[in-house]
Amino acid sequence: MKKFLRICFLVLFLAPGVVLAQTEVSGKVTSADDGSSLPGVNVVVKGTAQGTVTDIDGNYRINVPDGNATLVFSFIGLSTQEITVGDRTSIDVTMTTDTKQLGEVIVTAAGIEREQRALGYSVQEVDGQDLSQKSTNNVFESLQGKVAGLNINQNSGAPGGGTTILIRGATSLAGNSRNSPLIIVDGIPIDNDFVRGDVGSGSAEVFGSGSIGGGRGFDINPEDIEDITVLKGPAAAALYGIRAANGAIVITTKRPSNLRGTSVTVSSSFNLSRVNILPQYQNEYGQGLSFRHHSPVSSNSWGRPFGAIPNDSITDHNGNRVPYVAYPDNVRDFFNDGYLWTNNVELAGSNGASGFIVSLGRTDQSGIIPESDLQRTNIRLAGSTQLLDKLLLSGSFQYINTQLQGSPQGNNGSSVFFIMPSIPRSYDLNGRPYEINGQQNFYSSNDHPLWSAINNPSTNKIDRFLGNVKLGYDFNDWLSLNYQFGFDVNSENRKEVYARGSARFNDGLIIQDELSFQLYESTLLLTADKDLSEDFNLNVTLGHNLNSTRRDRFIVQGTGITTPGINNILNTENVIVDTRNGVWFNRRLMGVFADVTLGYRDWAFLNVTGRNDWSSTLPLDNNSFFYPSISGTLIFTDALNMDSDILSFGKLKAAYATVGNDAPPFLTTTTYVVPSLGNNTGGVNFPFLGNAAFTQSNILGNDNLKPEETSSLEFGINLGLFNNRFNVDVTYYDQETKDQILFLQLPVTTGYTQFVTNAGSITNKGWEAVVTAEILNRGAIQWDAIVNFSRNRNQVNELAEGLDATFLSGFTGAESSAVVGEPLGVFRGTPYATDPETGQLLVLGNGPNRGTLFNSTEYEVVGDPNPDWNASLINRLSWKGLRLGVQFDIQYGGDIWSNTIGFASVLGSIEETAVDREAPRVIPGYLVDASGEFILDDAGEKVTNNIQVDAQTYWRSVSGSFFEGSVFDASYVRLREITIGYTFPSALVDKTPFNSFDVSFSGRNLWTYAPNLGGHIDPEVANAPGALARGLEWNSSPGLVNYGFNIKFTF
Amino acid sequence: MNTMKSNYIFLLVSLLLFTGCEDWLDINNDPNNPVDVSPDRILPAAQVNTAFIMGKDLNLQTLAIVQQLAGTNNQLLSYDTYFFNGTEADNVWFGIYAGALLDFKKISETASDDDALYQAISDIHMAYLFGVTTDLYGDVPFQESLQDIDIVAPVFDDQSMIYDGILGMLENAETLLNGDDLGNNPGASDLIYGGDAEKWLRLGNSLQVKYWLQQRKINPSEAASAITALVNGDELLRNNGDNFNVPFGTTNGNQHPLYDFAFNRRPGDIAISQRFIDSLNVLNDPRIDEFINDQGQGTYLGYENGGTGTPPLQAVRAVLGTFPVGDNGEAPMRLYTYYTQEFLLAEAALMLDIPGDARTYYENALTASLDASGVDGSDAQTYLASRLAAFDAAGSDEEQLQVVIRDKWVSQFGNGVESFNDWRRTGYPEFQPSSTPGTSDGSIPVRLLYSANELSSNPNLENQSQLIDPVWWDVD
Repeated sequence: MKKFLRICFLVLFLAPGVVLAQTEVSGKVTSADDGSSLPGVNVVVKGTAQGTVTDIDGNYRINVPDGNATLVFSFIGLSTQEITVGDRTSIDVTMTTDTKQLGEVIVTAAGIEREQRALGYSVQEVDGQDLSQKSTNNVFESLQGKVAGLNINQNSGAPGGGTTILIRGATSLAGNSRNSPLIIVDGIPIDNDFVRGDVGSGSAEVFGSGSIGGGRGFDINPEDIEDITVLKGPAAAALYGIRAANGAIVITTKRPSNLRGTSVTVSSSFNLSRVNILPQYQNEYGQGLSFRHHSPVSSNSWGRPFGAIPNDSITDHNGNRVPYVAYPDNVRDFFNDGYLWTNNVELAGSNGASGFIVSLGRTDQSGIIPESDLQRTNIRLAGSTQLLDKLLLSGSFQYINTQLQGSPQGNNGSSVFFIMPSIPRSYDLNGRPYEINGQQNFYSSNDHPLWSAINNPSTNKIDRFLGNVKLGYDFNDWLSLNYQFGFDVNSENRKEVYARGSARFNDGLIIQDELSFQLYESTLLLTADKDLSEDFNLNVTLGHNLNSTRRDRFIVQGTGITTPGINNILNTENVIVDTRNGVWFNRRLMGVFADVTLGYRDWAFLNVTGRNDWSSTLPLDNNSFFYPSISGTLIFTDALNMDSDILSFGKLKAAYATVGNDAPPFLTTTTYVVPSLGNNTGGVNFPFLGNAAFTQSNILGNDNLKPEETSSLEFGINLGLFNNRFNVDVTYYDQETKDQILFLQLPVTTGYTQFVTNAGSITNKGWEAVVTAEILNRGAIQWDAIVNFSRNRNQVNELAEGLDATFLSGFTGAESSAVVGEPLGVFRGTPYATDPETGQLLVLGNGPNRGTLFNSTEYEVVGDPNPDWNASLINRLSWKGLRLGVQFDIQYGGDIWSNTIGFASVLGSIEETAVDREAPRVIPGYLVDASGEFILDDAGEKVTNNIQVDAQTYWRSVSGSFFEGSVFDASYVRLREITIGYTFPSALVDKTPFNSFDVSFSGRNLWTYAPNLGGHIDPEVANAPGALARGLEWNSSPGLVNYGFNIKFTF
Repeated sequence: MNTMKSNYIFLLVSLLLFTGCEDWLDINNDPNNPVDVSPDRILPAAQVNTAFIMGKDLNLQTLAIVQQLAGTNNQLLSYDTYFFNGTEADNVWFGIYAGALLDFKKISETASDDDALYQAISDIHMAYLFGVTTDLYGDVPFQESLQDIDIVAPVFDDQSMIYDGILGMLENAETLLNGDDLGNNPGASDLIYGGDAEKWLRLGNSLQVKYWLQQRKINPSEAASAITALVNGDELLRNNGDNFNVPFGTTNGNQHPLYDFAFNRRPGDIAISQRFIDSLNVLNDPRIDEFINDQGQGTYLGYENGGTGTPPLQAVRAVLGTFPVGDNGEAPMRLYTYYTQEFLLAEAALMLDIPGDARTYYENALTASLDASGVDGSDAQTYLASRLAAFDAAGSDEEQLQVVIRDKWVSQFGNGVESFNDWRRTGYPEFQPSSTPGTSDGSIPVRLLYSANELSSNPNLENQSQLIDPVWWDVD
């Protein structure tokens, strides 16, 4: 492990002592985690002033008086080792992470560095090592489970699918991106929002889109990361003021060192991705209804049993006789094995005063759907140099180029994940040609998935430039000035093609969508850190911050492809410019802030911050808002002078903060917009017959808009036990977010469908606990464990006056909503109709549908996607050069609304529907008539149902996509990560040109236990990206396992 | 460092940081979406919105019920089998209230009070739209509607009150248009009449006839006297040139929405009702070639209403022809026509006591329809003669009404809302329910369900309506 300290002056240089009769000992110090060399490690002869420091290759050379001498190897963050020299002249040492050291300095809000011990709020750090070579190319995926309270969900199984990130719980109703924490890379809040690409409307916008891609956060190369600090709540992120409500993830990239020398690091990984969780299909009955083959174009699998008739055959959709047999792997065999191939070269050097890092990375990924892949190139240059005596100039620039290709996603007949669940059990998907004489050959009016993957490609080419320049000037030893300017500029060039004959756009359609994003951030910091007296220390930081964020967009559609295969937008019958053009996000912020920390004897700290923000998205005459916070820390073991081996460290912390969440832009007025009528089944655009026109927008603006305000209270205790071998850090928090920016749904008869206003309140309360344990540390064997636990209780306390519930996301009938008194994001839909007295189901007693469930006309809360608690258990073992790391993630509670299971049940394609299919069954419950009134017997009692129905009728009654029957508990235990690695010993490596050599095997999501999902779906991949559509599973990817092989070497 | 020097530097830095702050933050107006627009730039959007709702969603729903289209897949099949749940009305209500009606209200507000023509156009369109809405859905928000957050939950007004309101708006338009100075003229931005005030006046009067006739079973005497007055005023539609039609074009995105649905987006969902084809064939109706396209098969391959059996393949089934949607989507949306007016007057002459002869009105209507569908010469003459003969042969007023309405149903092909109204009011043509009816008693729906969004967001709407529950004017 290489750990470069940003504060280099903590590295001690000790003068060599007086030389007497000396023996020279030399050797190499490497990291036990990955075998890389460790520069800057102190090597001291115990009891003397004699010492040295390892060089950039980790080598050291020191004179010892005699063989009884003990060498002490120490470095901040690593476990100190003491080794008796004996008669050796060459001593190699491996050092391991010291998980219990609390004197670490970490990066907090606004780039300010703090000692962890002084912090009164909840922060957790993850080292870059723990994110590297973990069978994924998305650094946020490798963060899963590593921080208590940080929830990360994959948006889709396709390459380039991004992640939804949530800290603690959701706070804002006004949009998915408004619940994301700030993602700061080297001081710049980078763009991670997923911009939906579809040109449809309504649900198509939510459930994936025609085009592919995730937020841009996954562009960051895991190999470039030094560490990540997660600021978990408003108290920790208070210095971000109006943007701080959801916390922040602060990423620091590797900095050049100031130790002389150069080094080259090469890392390479190859991983396979395979389908692991797919619906458990039944293979006893094939296409048809009521045990008959009624139609060759049906998606139902309620037909006759296989083998009932010898040499059974049916007439297919082309009029040919084909064998009627089961194809058990027809869905599974469609998917390929994906692969992920990453390579990275990093060159680092320094002459003592100036240093640089150049890093080049390349990712090649191929997905499980044919014709889906990703190529990414990362180029990074970081440098730092001492310009004048006290002036330090540093900077980092990255260029990232990504090319993605995929097939359509979303809720339409050209989307592979939409098509797959409805394929009948007797359909030979992969054995038959997907095309005959230039026409699709598929049983249904949906596209053949392979035809769609080949003929309906979506591509996305992304160019991104991230950079920052920093100037630091030390006036003297207690006063310094820092200025940083950073930018994140990216452009996406998306193209979606639907070929002529596709299910979604029969005439063909080409969409070109150009998005551009520009962000500029300027931060000026004046820091003073002075001991006022022997007991008191004062640290004051004053800051000024400017931010400008803008998105532009230009979309053109060409409808009616003329010559198939030429995907030039001018090869169409009509080119239309989409109405969603122009600047659609533009926001400027200015802020000034102050952070004052008073320390007493290094065991008591009081911290007060304040920030005032001015935002362009608020009404001009009322756009200034102030956010204070206060926190305190007491290290009571030091205060009380406790010196116990059992309770070796004890700290109490408390924090209170108020922060904001800015308003989206352009909402202070009601405007006219260019009309765009209709949806994917037919539409009209303007200009119309040469007439340009405008229609009144259906969203009412508000010239009294305010930002959302979150106030939070945190208490915590941090205990180190048994000489800090065990460390327990527990935090309790209570956050309330008020003045929610609500898009109040208005009845359309008011003329508008939404009114933006501030109303309502949402609370998030919970616990986080982090336990780290050094279980074994004996000689060559080390065993550390970390447990992260979090539990969040979210509740919508109120919405607007008179409003009890509002739609957030999904379909009407299967929606994610905000309901007063419930957690945010509960599902609303049609529940099972039950008898209020006994809870029994209501069954129709007469009419053509007798024996089936009475259809409730209610619309109720039917599920809650918020988990009860989350935990992860990480174990790390090492023995000599061998290491083993295992991470389990657990979620308890949390529902998924699964359209895949619901729909497959109605179609009769999953296992459950085949159990005793030929036996009749009775739905337990009481009989009611067509209007829901109880049918009573002669004695006036309710009648228990005994009407038999067949399996097909039963399943179609109790399941279905828009229905409570499709809501399942998604609790799971997952083997999230496993790493088995070996670092070659330096004795061996020294004979080669390499400086260190490490190999490992890694795996991701290798095993999953989700008992309530029937093994049909992956409990974490729900297709709708975003915190506000959590748990709605429509057209999702099958669950995948990733595993592979990694090497890393330096020279 | 020199204190003086550092003071200056701090001053300079703070000045740089705080000047221009206000201007720098004044960027919250979307440059592409204006706050104010003149009424002539709203009018085309409002008119196209009206035509779009009538031409696509409402057409699909009602043309299936009146058995001129048949559904083979997806939503159109649901309509054909009467499986409605209110979500199909969401787009309709959005287009009517938040689209067309709101825009016409804005036109009325942004135009000055002296712009009588604009005000009249707004009144007539709003009356028409409220009329369509209440005829299909029953009691709907009228008086309290379109008040944005001033009235957050509009109440649902009785249909009779809405009818009074509609007729009031039409009478108001009549008064405005009879004034001397009509103010600014929308000109070409009026896609329907090009700013011709005379035509607007005639349309407004003709619509009054329609809405009086619609309630003839409830208020027969009032209807009779009102229609008499309008007929005597002699300011009704004169010929097909006065038709209330919204034009469409041939380029994608400007095409008739039913064409877009049927040919570009969902050709697999739609077929022509075999019952309609049979009805046309039985009488050798020459308009059949203009109404329906046989795709070169030599015979019209339709599909039975109700989704039983395998539909003919897309490549060979009968599809919509030149008259309803155009060869490339360029047919207009015929919201209300001269021949519709004449058919209504024929009905009034038969059922109420109004000036004029039912047979004459009927002949005018059929002649105009044949002309509008591009049939002329001896074909037209022969057919006209045969239909007039059938009219003469019919014994009673009721039987003659059956002939009139049956021909009205055929002539209005492409406007399902009008025919749905007619069938409910008169019982003609006599339909059998589709073969797999989804209504609770298996009968044909006599209204459409309320928008599901409105049900969930407006507390004044407590319960969904019932498909089999007739509207106010639909009495036996």
